[in-house]
Amino acid sequence: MSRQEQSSSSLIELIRQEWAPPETDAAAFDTALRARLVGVRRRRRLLLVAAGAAALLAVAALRQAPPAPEPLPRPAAQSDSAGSSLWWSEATPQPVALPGQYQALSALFLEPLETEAP
Amino acid sequence: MIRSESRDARFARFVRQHRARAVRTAWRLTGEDLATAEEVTQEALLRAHSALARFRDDASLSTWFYRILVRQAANHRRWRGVRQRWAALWGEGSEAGRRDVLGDPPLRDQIAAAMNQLSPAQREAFTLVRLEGFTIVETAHIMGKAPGTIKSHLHRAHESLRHELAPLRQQESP
Repeated sequence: MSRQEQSSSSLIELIRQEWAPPETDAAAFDTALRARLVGVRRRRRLLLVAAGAAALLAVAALRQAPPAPEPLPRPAAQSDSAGSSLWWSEATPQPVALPGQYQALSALFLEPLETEAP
Repeated sequence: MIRSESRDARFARFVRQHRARAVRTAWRLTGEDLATAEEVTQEALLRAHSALARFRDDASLSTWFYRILVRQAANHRRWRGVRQRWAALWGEGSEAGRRDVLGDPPLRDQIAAAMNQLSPAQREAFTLVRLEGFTIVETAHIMGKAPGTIKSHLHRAHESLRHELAPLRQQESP
């Protein structure tokens, strides 16, 4: 073994001996560890119970919920009293007036203009 | 029930086998008092208990456990500054003041100061290989690094410690 290796190993030995903690009280250590383990198990059990209860509640809520309403039948084309036809469009949910109604309205406003014309 | 008992028995055996070495390693890595080292060790042991079923042989469980221990100690070191500020705020005694006194305190302080000069990886490698007797390969597994990297950390740690503790060796030699 070279001189450098020797001095290096003696330095390591010095650190190992001088820089060490006092001995652990094994009984106290084990008691504390057991207590923590019991705490962890209790917490885990509580979490399991809570998760189980939440799952049961969710299932019960699903069972009690009323069945989903069936979709309404798509209404057929209708006619209003004025005779203009209406239809339902998916793109435009509001009833749209057809040219028949438009003509009746425009006639109402355009009539005076026509009478004034020479 | 039988399965649970055998699991507990295995854990008890594991604790018996590793308690002293684990507390010593945690103490050397955190550089604090014995209570802190025990706390860090117990945290790692609790994790080992929950992972017990995953490891059939004790060797791989042991490597995994020391990896957790080293990580726990690193986390503890990382948050030491925050804890010390918090303790000062509440008027509690500083953690350095609660260090255990054993042997030659000035010599220990000198060694602690030299160890504090090492980088976290150098300190871990030196503690595991030189002070706790793990092999380079085991330490590489524990630290999650290549064996070559561990050798490099060891070399640098030796250089640094030789330099920092030179006055100590001069006192010893005559």
